[in-house]
Amino acid sequence: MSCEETRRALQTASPEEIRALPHLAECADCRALADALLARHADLDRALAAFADAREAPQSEPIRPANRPWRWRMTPTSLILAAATAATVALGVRTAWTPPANAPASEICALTDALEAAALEGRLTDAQIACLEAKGDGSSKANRVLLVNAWSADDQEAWRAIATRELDRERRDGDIDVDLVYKVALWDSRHADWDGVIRGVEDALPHVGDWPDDVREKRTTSLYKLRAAAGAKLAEASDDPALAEQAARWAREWRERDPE
Amino acid sequence: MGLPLPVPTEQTRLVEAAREGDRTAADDLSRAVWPMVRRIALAVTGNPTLADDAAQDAMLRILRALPAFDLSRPLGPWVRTIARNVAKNARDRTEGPVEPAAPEAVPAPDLERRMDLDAAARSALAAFSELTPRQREIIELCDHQGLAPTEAAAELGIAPGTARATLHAARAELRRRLLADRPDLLASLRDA
Repeated sequence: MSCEETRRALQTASPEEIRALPHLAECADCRALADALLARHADLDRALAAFADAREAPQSEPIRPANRPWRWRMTPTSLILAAATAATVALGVRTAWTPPANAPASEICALTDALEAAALEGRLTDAQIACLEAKGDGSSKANRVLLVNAWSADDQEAWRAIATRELDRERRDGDIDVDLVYKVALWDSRHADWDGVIRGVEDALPHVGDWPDDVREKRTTSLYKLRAAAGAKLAEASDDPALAEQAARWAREWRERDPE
Repeated sequence: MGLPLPVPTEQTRLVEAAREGDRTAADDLSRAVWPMVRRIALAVTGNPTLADDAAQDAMLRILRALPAFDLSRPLGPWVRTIARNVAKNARDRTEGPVEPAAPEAVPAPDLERRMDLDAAARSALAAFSELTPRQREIIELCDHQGLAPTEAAAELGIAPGTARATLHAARAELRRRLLADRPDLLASLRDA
């Protein structure tokens, strides 16, 4: 092993690996560098240990046995409400606005704050909805505005149709919003393909590393959440204890990732 | 180099007893995982004062969540996941980016007294705090808690290759910072 190879290893090897580098026994310069690095690592170890030991562990509170193993389970209605709330928050609460009746066609559905505010109240006009529908196949934002409007107007059929269309668009782009899959899957639980949902999650989990860093964790947690919810639905409809146990395991895996 | 945790049978006994309401078992378990919780909190936040509070919060949450823990699984990843999430929330709640730890600025006076660090340890801690959260976490998991990069990857929800690359980059960055006051050595490290 040469000096160059050793110094390259000194940049990235673990402290244990550094100690085992054979070249250090025969090269004083490399050994001095390695010793300095290891000494600094020892300084860091001392500091981290001092922080870890700086306070006593908090006293435990009495632990109540879990008597509601499905504590996390929500009804489809509450999930839909949560979806609507999330969409509302995402778009921001803005003041009400009525679109001018004589607006030029090109501006009928310009994605402005005012348009979003009208959607929040479910007051988009037929012309605006048609205009956004035309955009929707290529515009996630247009679909999101339509989703909010449909929810606010209590138009469940429209909501589901728009959500499905948005998912189709995202599938083509290869960038699925897992949260939206979750909401759609739970929209009408009587007809949901829970087995298919679980299979989809299982297929997706090995590939989460392909997602960009900034969204990976959130989406991965959503996958776990979706699998847990689907598992609970299957377990509800079955007397199979193994299925119930599996569903509980998925729920725990989700809660471990998302203890909030 | 992993931090000491109860061996699995002891861990199972403690968890089961704690679930039944045995305060002594809960306290024993708490003491066993406490250093790991604090270190994860520090790795995630990079700020001893913030990590100090987050660790307390995380530990209480861990104890409350104990009834949901699956005894067939290892305790460490479960504890770390909760500690990580609580610390991330604490970090995200702070307004603006958390300032990197500077030797003279952190930790808070009370914590500083308890840690009683010499100058070299303070300087090393400041270097560690200046890394990115992901870099600190991967170093903590692999170099201090003894996880293999593949295990760390699974825990952090990233690809194994990404974990290895991040670990190497993190070590290189940490060493550049640790040797910042030794330009002669730093130059020979950089020359490689």
